[in-house]
This record gives sequence, structure tokens and C-alpha cells, in this order.
Amino acid sequence: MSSTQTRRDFIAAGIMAASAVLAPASGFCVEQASGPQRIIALDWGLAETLLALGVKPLAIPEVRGYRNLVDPDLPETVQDIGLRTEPNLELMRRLDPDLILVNPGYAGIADILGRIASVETYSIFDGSGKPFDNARKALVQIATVTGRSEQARLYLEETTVALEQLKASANDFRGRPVYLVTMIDERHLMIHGNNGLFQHVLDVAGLRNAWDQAGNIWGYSNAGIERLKSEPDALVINLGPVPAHVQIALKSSRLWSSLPFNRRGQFHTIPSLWTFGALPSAVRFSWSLTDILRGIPHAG
Amino acid sequence: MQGEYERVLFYYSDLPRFFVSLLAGASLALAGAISQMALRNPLASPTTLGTASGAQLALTLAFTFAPSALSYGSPLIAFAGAAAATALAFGLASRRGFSPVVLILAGLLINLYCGSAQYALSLFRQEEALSVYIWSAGSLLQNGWSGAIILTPAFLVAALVTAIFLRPLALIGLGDDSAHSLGISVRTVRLALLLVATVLTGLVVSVVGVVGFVGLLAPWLARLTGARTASSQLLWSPAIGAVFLWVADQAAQLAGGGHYEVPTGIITAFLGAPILLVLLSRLKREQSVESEGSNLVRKLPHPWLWIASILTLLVPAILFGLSANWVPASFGFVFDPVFGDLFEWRAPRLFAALLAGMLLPFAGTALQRLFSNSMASPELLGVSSGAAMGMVLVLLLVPSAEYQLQLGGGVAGAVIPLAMMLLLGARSKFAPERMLLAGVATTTVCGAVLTALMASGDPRLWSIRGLLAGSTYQTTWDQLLAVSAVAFPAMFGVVLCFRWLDILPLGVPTASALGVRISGTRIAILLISSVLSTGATLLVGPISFIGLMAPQIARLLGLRGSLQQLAGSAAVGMMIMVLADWFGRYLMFPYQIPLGLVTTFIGGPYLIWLLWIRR
Repeated sequence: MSSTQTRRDFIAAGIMAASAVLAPASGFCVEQASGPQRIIALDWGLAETLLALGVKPLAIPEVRGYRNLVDPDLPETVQDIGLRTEPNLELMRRLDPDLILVNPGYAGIADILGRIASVETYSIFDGSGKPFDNARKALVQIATVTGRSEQARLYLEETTVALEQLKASANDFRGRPVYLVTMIDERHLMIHGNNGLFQHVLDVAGLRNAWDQAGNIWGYSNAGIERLKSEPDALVINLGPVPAHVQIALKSSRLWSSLPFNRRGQFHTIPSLWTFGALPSAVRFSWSLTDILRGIPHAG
Repeated sequence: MQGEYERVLFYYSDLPRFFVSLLAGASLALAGAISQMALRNPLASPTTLGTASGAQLALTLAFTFAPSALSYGSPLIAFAGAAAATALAFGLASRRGFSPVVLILAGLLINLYCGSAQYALSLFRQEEALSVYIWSAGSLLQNGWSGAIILTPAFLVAALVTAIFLRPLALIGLGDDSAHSLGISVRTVRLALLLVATVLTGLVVSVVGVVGFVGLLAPWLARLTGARTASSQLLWSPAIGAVFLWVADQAAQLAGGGHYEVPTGIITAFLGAPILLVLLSRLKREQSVESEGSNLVRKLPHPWLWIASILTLLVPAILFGLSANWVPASFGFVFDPVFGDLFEWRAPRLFAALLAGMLLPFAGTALQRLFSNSMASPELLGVSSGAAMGMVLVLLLVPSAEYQLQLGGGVAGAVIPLAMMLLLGARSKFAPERMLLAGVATTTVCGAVLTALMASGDPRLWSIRGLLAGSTYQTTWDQLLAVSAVAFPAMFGVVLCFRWLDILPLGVPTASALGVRISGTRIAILLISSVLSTGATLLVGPISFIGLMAPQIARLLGLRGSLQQLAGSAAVGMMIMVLADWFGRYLMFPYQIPLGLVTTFIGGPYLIWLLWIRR
């Protein structure tokens, strides 16, 4: 974890240095002032995309959930505008944003939102099975709208660096099957198929998704834990926090501990990661996966 | 490697599951049999008394807010919740000689209240919601022997205590007086045995969640198959309960086809509800709800003046609702240019609140007069739950359903409890307590089905949660128009019935003598009420208690005539709804509490108070 942090900090510092150098040359400062700056993101993936571009959103829904599930490092000053399903219109109106970023799930209230500010819709999970590409496109488009094209270029570079690092660390694991799961309770999980956000990251790393089939539009299927035994030498990586009461139940479950990956100690958890996010989630996954692979003894 | 997992699966999952299904079934059946005997009430059971819901809510709260407490204390937490719920139901009923109907009403109230609290939690704590739903729907899934290890001694100790109290228990069956004259402290025995039943229920819930109706069903089957004496009933009930739950669990596993876990509680709810109805139709006449003490309330002088004043007060209330803000650290009014926008957002939800605040009291007044029972209401008769079920099914079958189609589905759903009432009514001459209990059955089944649907984690259902909790967030003018188009004619219909509504509470003989065609009138009023309830359910969800509260408040104010009560209750209902909408918007700002939840949290305590004061 700490090594990820260091690497991230290092890269962030690099980006800042680069911006300082590039800014005057590319007319970056002028560009920054021109785009909308007071932005509300109703979708967490779009919110993290904004943050990746160096734009601090004015407000997002369910701040507590975002810190638990997406990224604990949300700036303190980002305001909470209530539930994702029912963002507080009055507060949004009061905050007087000039742009609202949404996913197509908000079509029902698009008219109302349009009276608060201009609305941009981005669809990352659109059923095309290519959420990673969509997330990359969304980053570039949002950068254009907010006048942050330079940051977008740098962030895409960071993405490439993250993927290269992963590829290097995954050298000894080429072709190794990996299950990406999210535990629901001690017997049920979401299992992420080949149309999920992180499939592209696995592909770059040369790892094989052991659940090689398409899930629902969000890229997952519901399943029982026994599904995880069909590939005995697979790594299992849990994405997102395991609820505390599930952890307690798993600890005492003989069934769980009898599964092949547990007997080899190959159950790993990335505790704060949003499987329905955007490019920054994929990058975060890439760094975490790098750490996990580096921690595994080569014989494993 | 494969074989190893199968072996562990057998020894640590299938085998303990088998034992737990037997133990939980036997324990629930024993708890049910004990409470039925101790209370001399064939309807008492962990499900109908709200004991199980209390345990469930306590555990859900612990799951969400203090998960670390669960590693040691989950049976204790479950027991605390079970005890609180039972004490409430028991306390309310004890003031009225353990009237079966009051017990069941109190139990339903606790069930509804706990259900609303669960919805609220799942709205605000989505991360934990799914696993809690799966568990709370009653799943017998086991990962080891810990469940069986808890339940075995619990059941044995409970059986032992019951055996010790066997003689006094049998004597209580003869009636409090005869038991007393034989030297039994009825109170002590009753309390001791109810404590045993509560502890047992709490433990079962902590292991398998809420598996409904077993405690009701098994003793009934025991009696049906010829167990006459107390000892034979206490012996056979657990045996039947064990087998029943095992069978239900097998059915649940088959229904899931190995991929998706169908909670066993759903199966038992489906099997149990019809039995409840059968039990109701056999209830003795003398156990009915006594007639209302409406004469105690003095008649209000100048009733229409009062109604007009409430309606006049509604104007500033509406203006307040439209303009007042109460955001953290600042209370104020908005009349600046922003008001134009705010009006557009606040007005539809405010008018939804107003409309529902009119529809539900109309339905409630009509039903209360029809059944001569102030506990009759769309919520308690199951009409609203049926409507909600209908709408949810429409949304599942036709994902892009138009609002009108949902409305149709709602009416279709509302007709089911109605048909059950008419069926039961034909045999019992619409005895009020039958109607109420039929409503309880519908509400309970609908609740179980909805919980099961939630447990499936179907993404389409996330949007329905808002509807079920009674959210007016997305109400549009078009929806208001669609509901109004149906609702206003229906309300007009109720007004046209006002003479009947005046006469019906006088009793069937009087009404017939005055030339009212009883059954036709009843069917007409029931149909109109179900349309009204459906309209309201579409706007504010199935449970709001407004249809119960507002007509009663109007009556307590002294509005006697049916037209007065209709107008007065609508005025009161709208007033409560407007204020509830406002509080829902600002109490947890920026999070908005759905309107139906706000009124449930107001209405629940009110109903408890009402049961408490009525004699």
C-alpha cells in the first residue's frame, strides 16, 4: 500500500512539475479560466474523473459512501448533496453550478437539472462491453469541456505508466487465471466478467479472467462462492470493502477456508475500489494489482 | 481437490443446515405453541406478535452500526429486540384482556414499523443493504456448526422449562379464573412462558433471520391432526414444525436451482398466510372488537366552521411549505427570483402530499364507517400493500411501464385483498375483526414477497425502493394529473355514498330496515376505497398511516356526520402531509426522508397510543 502511495506521489509531483513547465507554453492558464469551474458530478465515476483532471467538484452525492467505496482521499470541501438516487435539487440550485455531470440513469430528472445548469451525460457502462474505452473517452471529453486537455494528456500518461508497471510485475504470472469478485455475504458474491471496467487492465497484464463470460450491463453476475473452485490455481481478488459482519462470518467458515485459493493464501482484497467507476478506478486497480502480484512469492 | 470441497460442503454446510432446519422449526413451533396457550389465543406466534421483527431490526441496526458487537453478542442483541417487541404487543393487549385482535394489530404495527426502519436503513446505508436483505428474508444457509450449537441447548432448555410448567399451562387453558381458583398465579406462569418463547425466538432469528409463520402453522397442524391436550400439542407442535421447516427449506433450495438462494422465509410465508386466513374464519364471535366509544366524544358545535378554519390554515401551511427553508444553521424564507425555480420543484411533491392527504382519509373514513371499526384503514386492510405489490410486478414485467399502466397494476393488486375480504365476509357477515385479520395476512405476505425481491438484488428494484418508502422526489405534474383523473371521481363517489356511510355504523339490522342494500353497498364502497388507496400508494407508497390517523382525529375532534368526517379528515390529512413533506426535506438535509417514512414514524406511535387509551 505504502509503495503505491509513494509511486503515486512521485507521479503526481512529476505531473505538477510538468504542468508548471508546460502551462505558459500551451496557454494552459487561459484555457483553465475559460471552462466551467463550478461542477457537480452525480456519478461517482465522473466525480473521480474530475478529480483526476485536477478539478475539485463543487458537490457530489453520498460523500461518506464515496470515501468508503471509491477513494478515501476526497477533499474535505466537496459538499454532500444527498442520495445518488435523489440528489437534493434545492441545494444544487443554491450552490449555483455551471455544469452538472450525469450518467444516463438521470434521464428522468434531466429537464429539472437543465434548469439548474447545463448538463453533460457520459455513459461508461452502456452495454457495449468496453467500459474502459468509454471511461478514457469520457476523461478526454470532460477535459475538453472543462478546459483541462493538458491534464488529460498527463493523466493518460500516468495511466500508461501504471499499466506498464503492472505488466512488468505480472511477467511471472502470464496466463494465470484471476477471479475478480465482490463479496456480498459469506456465501454470495458478485463475479466480474469480461465486460467489466477492469478487463482491459487484466488484458494488458496478460492475466486471464477465470470468469470469461459477460455479466450484466455493469459487467458482473451474482454467484455462490462454490463457483470459485472450478479454477483451482486461480488468484481471487475481492474488489471493494468486505462488510464487517461478513468478515466475521468468513473467519469461522470451514467451507470458505476449504476453497483452494484460501488454502494457498491467494485471496486478496482491495478494500476501497469502485467497480462501477471510471478511469481513475481502473488506474487504482492497476496499482493495487501490481502490489498484490509483487507480494506473491514467485513459486506461488 | 474437488472432492475435498464437496466433503466440506456436506459436513459443514448441508449437514448443519439439515439440523438447523429441524431445530429452528421445532423452536419456532414450540415458541408459537407456548404463546398460544399462555395467551389462550390461537393467533399468537413469533411472526404475528412482532417478536421476530423486533429481533430482526435490532440485529440489522447492529449489522449496520456496530458490526464488531456481532462476533459475540448477536443472540443477546436479537433477544433484546425480541423482548422489546413482545413487551410492547403484550403490554398493549394486557390492558384489553389479551384481545386477540389487539394483540395481532399490535404485532402488525411492530412488523410494519420495523419494515419501514429497514427501508430507511437500506436507503441511507446501501453498502450493507444487500446482505442484510438476504439474511433478513430468512435464509437457512450454514457455514459450520455454530448455529446448531446455539439452538440445540436453547431448544432443550425451553422444552424442559415448558415441561415443568405443563400442568399450570394446561390449567390456564381452562380460563384465568379457574386456573386462579386452583392456586395458579396466572400472571407469573404467563410471563415465565412468554419469556421462554421470546428468548427462543430471538435465538432462532439470530441464527436464520425471520422465517415467518412456522410458529403459527405447526400448533395449528397439531390441533388439526388431533392433538387435544396441552401436553400432546406441546409434543407434536415442535415435531411438525421441524418437518415443516425442513420441507420448506428443501423447496427453497429446489426453487433456487442452485444458482440463486431463495430465502426459506419466503416459502414459509407463502404457505403460512392461507393458514392464517383459515384460522381467522374459525375465530369465535365473542372474540370480536368491542364497539367504538364514539359517544364519549362530545359533538363539536359548528362543525363546518371548524373544518373551514382547518382548510384556511392550510393556505399558510402550503405557502410555508413552498417558501420556508431550514438548511443547517439557517432558517428562512425564499421569495426572491429563486422562488420561481424552487416553486417548480417543491410544488409537485407538495401537491402529491396534498392529494394523498385527501385520498387516504377519504378511503379511511369510508372503510371505518363500513366496518364500524376505527382500526379499519387502507394500510391495515392490506389494500395499500396489495396495490404496491401490483405496481412492483408491473415494473418487473414491463420495465418501461407508463404511469397509467402502473396505476392499473396497482388497482389489480388492491383487488386481491379486497376479494379475500369479500370471500371471508360472505361467511362472517363482514365481521370487522375478520376483515382486519385478512388485511394482516395480506400485508404480511406482501411484505415477505417484497423482501424476497429486494434480496434478489435485481437492479431494476433499486428504483422501486424509493416508491416503497413513499418518496415524492420524482413526482411530476403528469403523474399528479393521472392520479387526479381517477381519484377525484372516486372521491365524488364517496361523497355520493354519504347517506349509506351515516347509516352503516348503526348496525346491519337498522341499515336494512332503512332500505340500504347491504352487500351491494359494501362492494361499492370497498371498490371505491381501493381505487383511492391505489392512487395514494402510487404517490406516497403503501404505508403512511394517514388513512388511519386522519379519520380518527376528525372523529376525536367531534365531527360526527359522515360528510363532516370526510371533509374534516381530509383537512387534517392534508395538514399532516404538508408538514411531513417539509420535515422530510429538511430533517436530514441534504438527504431527504421519503414522505411515507416520515408519516409512518409519526403514525406508528400514534397508533400505539391509540391502542393504549382505548378500553
